[in-house]
Order: sequence, then C-alpha cells, then structure tokens
Amino acid sequence: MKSKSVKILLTCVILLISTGCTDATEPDTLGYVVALGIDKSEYNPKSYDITIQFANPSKISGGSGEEGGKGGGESIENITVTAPGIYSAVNIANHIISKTFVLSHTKLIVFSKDVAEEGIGGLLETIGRSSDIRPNTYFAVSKGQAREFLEAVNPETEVNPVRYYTMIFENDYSGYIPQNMSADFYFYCGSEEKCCVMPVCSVAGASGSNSYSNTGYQYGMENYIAGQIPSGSEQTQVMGMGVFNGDKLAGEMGDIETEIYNILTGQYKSSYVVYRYSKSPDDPITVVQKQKHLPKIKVRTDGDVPKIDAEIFVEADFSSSTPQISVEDNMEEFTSEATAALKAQIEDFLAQTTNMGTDIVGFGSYAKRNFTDLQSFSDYNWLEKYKNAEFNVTVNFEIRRTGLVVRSDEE
Amino acid sequence: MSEKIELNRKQLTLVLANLLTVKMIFAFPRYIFSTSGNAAWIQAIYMTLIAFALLEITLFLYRFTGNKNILQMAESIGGAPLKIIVSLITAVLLAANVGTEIRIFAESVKIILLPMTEIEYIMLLFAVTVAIGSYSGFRSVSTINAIFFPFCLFFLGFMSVVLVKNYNINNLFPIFGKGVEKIFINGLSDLSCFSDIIALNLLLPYCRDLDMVKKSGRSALAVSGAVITLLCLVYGAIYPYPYTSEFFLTTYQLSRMVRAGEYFQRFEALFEFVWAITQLLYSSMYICIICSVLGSAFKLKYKNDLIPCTITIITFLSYEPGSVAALLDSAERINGYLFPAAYILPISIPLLYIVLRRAKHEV
Repeated sequence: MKSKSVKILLTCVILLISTGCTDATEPDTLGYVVALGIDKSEYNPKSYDITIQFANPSKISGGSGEEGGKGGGESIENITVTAPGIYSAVNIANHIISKTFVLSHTKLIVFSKDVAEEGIGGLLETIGRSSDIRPNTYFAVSKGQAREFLEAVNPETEVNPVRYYTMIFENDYSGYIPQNMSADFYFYCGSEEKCCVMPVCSVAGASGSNSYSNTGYQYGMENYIAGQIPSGSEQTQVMGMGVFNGDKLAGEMGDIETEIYNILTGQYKSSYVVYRYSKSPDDPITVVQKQKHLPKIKVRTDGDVPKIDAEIFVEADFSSSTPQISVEDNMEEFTSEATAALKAQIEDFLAQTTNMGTDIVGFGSYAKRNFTDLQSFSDYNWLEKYKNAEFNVTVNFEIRRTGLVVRSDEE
Repeated sequence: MSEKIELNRKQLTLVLANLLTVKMIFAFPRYIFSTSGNAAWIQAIYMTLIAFALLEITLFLYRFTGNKNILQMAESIGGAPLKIIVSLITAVLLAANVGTEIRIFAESVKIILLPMTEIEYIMLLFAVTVAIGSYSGFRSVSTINAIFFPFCLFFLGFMSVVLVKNYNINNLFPIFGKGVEKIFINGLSDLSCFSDIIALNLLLPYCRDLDMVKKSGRSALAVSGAVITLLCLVYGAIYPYPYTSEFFLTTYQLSRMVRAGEYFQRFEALFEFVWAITQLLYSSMYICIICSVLGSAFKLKYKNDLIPCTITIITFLSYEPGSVAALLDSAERINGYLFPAAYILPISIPLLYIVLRRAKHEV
C-alpha cells in the first residue's frame, strides 16, 4: 500500500515538473520570420542592414473578422535593423516589435549584390549551426537592395506568404531559376569540387535590355535576368542566376543559361521551349520539353586537361507549330535541328562557365570518382583545371507527341 | 537485476541490439567520419567484421566455460579480490558509455528542444526517469525494448527510403576517403562503438542455453553492423565531407532533410520521440547491468538499492566536462582508453579459467 502511494505521488510530481513552463511559448507571442534581406550597412562597414519580413497572422487567418485572410502586402510586415549578423538583428528587432521572432518558418534569405560580391561565408555559419533555420530555406541574390525587393513583395495570389515563396522558388514547371536550397549552398560554397549559384531577384526595371537569342534554342526569346522583364508595374521578379566563386558572387547568367544549367544538373522538370525550324524561320515551333532521365556525365582526369562527356536526354511534345508546313512529315529533320540547337546552347553555356572559372554544374563531383582518396583529388586542383576543360556533349532529343493535332501535307 | 530473470532469444537479441545501436545512431558516426572521411561506410563494414571475429572467439570459449560470465569466472580464478577488480573495470567501462550518452542526450535536448531550460534540470529529469526505468526491473525494460526497438529500426529504414531523392552518390567518392591507412589502421580506435558487446557476457547467467547466446550475439551484432553501415552510407551520400564530421547528431541531421512534398516535412518531431525512448531504454538497461555487476561483486542481496547512487554518480561525472565540445573530446579519449577492456576481458578471463581448470584436473 505504502509502495503504491509512493508511486502515485512520484507520478504526480513528474507530471507536474515535466510539463513546466520554462520553454513554453504561446503562438501569439511569436513573430514568424518569412524572409530576411541582407544589405551592406550605410553607416557601419562591419554591420549589415538586415530586413526582417514577418508574417502578420491576423491578416493571414482573417483575425477576428469574418472575411477571411487578406493576402497581398497586408499579410506581411517588414522591419530593417543594423546588426553584424542575423541573430543579432533578430535580437534588436525583438525590442522593437512586440513579438519574439523565430526563424523556423523562414523561407527566403536575400543577399544584396554588394554583400554577395564581398562574400557571404561569415553569414553562412549561422545556417549550419542553427537548428532554427531549416536546410530548405531558399537563398537569392538581389540586383538592387534586398530591402527594396522584400518591401516590393506583394503576394496577391497567396494568402500565406510562405507559400508564395515556395511557389516562386520551387516551381517544377519553370526552368528559369536554379532550385538551390540553403543546405546545398552551405555545403558546397567552399568546396573543391563545385561552385554554387543562387537565383537572382529584383524589383522590375523600366524595360528589357538584353539581346534576343538568335540561336535555335529559345529562338527569339530574351535572355532575361530579374529586373529586366518589362512588366509595366513595380513587381518583383525572380529570374536567372548569380554564379559564385567560393562565397563571392562572380557573375550572372540569364534565364536561358539557367535553363541549360537545370538540364545539366538534372533539376530540370519541364518548360515551354521555342525552337527555330529552318523551313519556317518566321514561325518557330514551341514544345513542352521534359527531362527524360538524369544526364549521364563522365569525367576523365588522366591528363592535365579534364575531358568531360555529358549526355542529356530530353523529350518534347508539340505545343504550337507552324500552319504553313507539316512538321510531322519532317520530324527527323526538325528533331535533328532541335538537337543541334540544344547542343550548341549547352556548349555555349559550358564555355561561359570555363571562362568564368566556375564549375557550377558540379563536374568535379564526378571527377572525384577517378581518385582513390581526398588528398589526391585535392592535389589535382580541380577548379583550376576546369578552366581548360574540354567537353563532348551528346543530346538525345525526341518528339513524343504532337498535341491533339496530327497534320500531314500528303492528305 | 536482483530478480530471477530468464531472457528469451528475442529479448536478448533486442537488448544487445539496443545497447550496440543507440550510440551508433545518434552520436558515433561523427567519429567514424572524422577518421576516414566519406569512406566511413567501408570503415563501418571493417569494424563490424573485426567485432564479429572477436565475438566468434568469445563464443568459442563459452563452449568450455558454459553459462558463466566473466565475474563468476574471475571469482573461480582469483577469488573475491579478482572478482571485485574485474567488476569495477567492467562497471567503469559501462558507466563511461552510459554517462556520455546521458550528457549528450541532455545537451542535444537543450539545443534542439528546450533552449531556455537549464541543463541541470534536463539531466535531473532524465536521471530520475532512468532511475524509475531501472527500478521497474531489467525484465520490464527488456520487454518494452522488444516492443519499441523494432519501431526504431523501422523509423531508420523508413527515413533512408524517404531520403532517396537527396542521395548524391558522388559524395561517397573518392572511394577511400581520407586514405586506406586511416580506414584500416586508425579505424581500429573506433572499435569502441561495439564495446557494449561485453553486455552479452554479463547477461550469460540469465540465458537459457549457449545456443541462444550464440544466435542472439550474432544477430545483434549483424543488426548493429547493418545499422551503422547503412547510416554511414545514407549520411555520407546526403552530407558531403567534411560536414559529416562536424554535425554531432547524425540522425537528427538526416531527419531535418526529410521532405516529401509540401506537407510531409519537419520529421524531427518523430525523431525526437524515437530518440527519447531509445535513450531511456538504453540508459535504464545499462544502469540495471551496472547495478547487477556491482551487486554481484560485493555480494549484495538488494541490488536495486544501488540504482539511486549509481545514477547520481554517473550523472554528476557526465556533467563534469564544461562544454559539448569538451564532452565529445573527453568521451573520445575515455573510450579510447577503456574500450579494449570490453574485448580483452571476455577473452582473457575465460582463457585463464579454462587453463586453470585444466591444470587442476591434471593435478
């Protein structure tokens, strides 16, 4: 009996002390940070102007009103503070806004071009050490001020701002931005085997300034980078990619190059592609292009010049064709022209990467297979050798379907 | 273990598998990756093979010693003094293993779940829970373990499958990581991860027959070997070296990467549940075994009375290192000094016992 009483008493004590309030947090006391913008500080060269974009839950859920969530700019708020790091900025912001900011729902971290050019290695440490920031947070580099970009964000079509960023940065049907999570950047930004990229974002500028693509691939399309798409209003744009050498921004690439990057890295799912066809140069053919399976990449490192074989597999369905002639009757010819155009575009892209001295595709990861240990790979100095790499690109392109129409000139 | 217990084969296998696996799942892979880089999985296979060889030697010796454990044999060889010495060495070895795990568990809980709670409070709460678990008896804990441990294995397997899209096989190259010498020579120091196999010997008197011991020992070692190899492969394929040797909670890092679609993510919650229960079972079983060892050394009638002081001493000692970095460093050093005893004692004591017994018979 005595033993039973002791057990009951002990159970009660444990139930009481183990449900203590030391670490208890009420959801309404927390400020959920959705995005962070990092700019160079105007006043303190050792600090950053950090913009904290946080969700306004009362507007997302509809609060006490009956009309439901508001969406748009009302669902998010921005505050900018000057601090040497992300958590010190959060600390300052906690004293300004009556919420305790948490980064566990942060979806996007935007670095301004100035910050990215100087190097973001110091800021990356926060990503690795913190259990708060998730490995699938998106990184982006902003052409102008990161604060301006975040303040211009107006998720009109989404009530939940986190979902807005997910839809923008992780859209399987858009090949114009690289799908690059913070974890990938953290792991590879200082590695000896590959270089990193980030999507480029910006507030829309006045108009496009790039030249039209005159290659057969994405024929007639502009090679846009975010901010250059004429949109008529102050919208935010995410397009193209910033190329990093180590933790420093080394250059930018437009949407077409980004699509090729996605194809070569195997991240590409599907997109609309315009191909030039010699028999109807004024009416280019639009196809829905998909990656059939992952590219096959082989790297030979037996000489001083690395030799890289890349074989890609894409298939496509006609989305629109020319009414003048039947492409169906000239399928082989069209396929061979499209294959050549895609091959030329890939070779052009790879030449750009070697000129920049940045192995963004990650051929170095395949080169590691040729070495027995890490030291011998390190001694090979891959990133230096990559500048002189020779490529052999093979494209397997197939037209699978012709849409709902099968036209023939013979009929 | 003051109660008269007899473990069945399933219980014994899962008890041993838990004791061998828990350390490997949560904190140990970091050491293996530090030693051999991305070739950790090769080292894991290598270590498993060596552990198997050592186990076979001990199992061979059991044919001549029967169900006696090293403490009973030590008593036959050198009387009470030798038994006490062997018991103390064994208890210290076990205490070092469980003490490190208790502190790492508490520190990890603080980092991940309860950042504002004092570490002393977390350790106290965990120690009290382990004490209650130990009081409930080895049979109860081993029965709960028999139910829960397969769930833990299922969790690991499930996570490995869900993470398939994150695998990057290139991360496993160059194939020999930091080099052949590091894997096969320096890697021997990481054999401490199988040092808990000494529990098989200590549990001998509670087993029905030797055939069961052999089968359970082999099965448990096979399970733990498979787990550590799989974990090293999965972790190494997802996280590139040197980051694999930096994060100290392997399975937690893996659970953070789980993301199947928009809604199935934040797998850490399930990890924390599995982690807390396996740690509790592991620590409770360890405390039971330590009390049993000390109780039999000093011929105590009521071994359960040792639980409060044992857990208090172990918790206080594990609290000694100032920081997590110091804790991991000291754990590595202590393991380095003590783990050979886990392999030497179950071979040397039976050998001595057999030689002396034969000598007596000849006389």
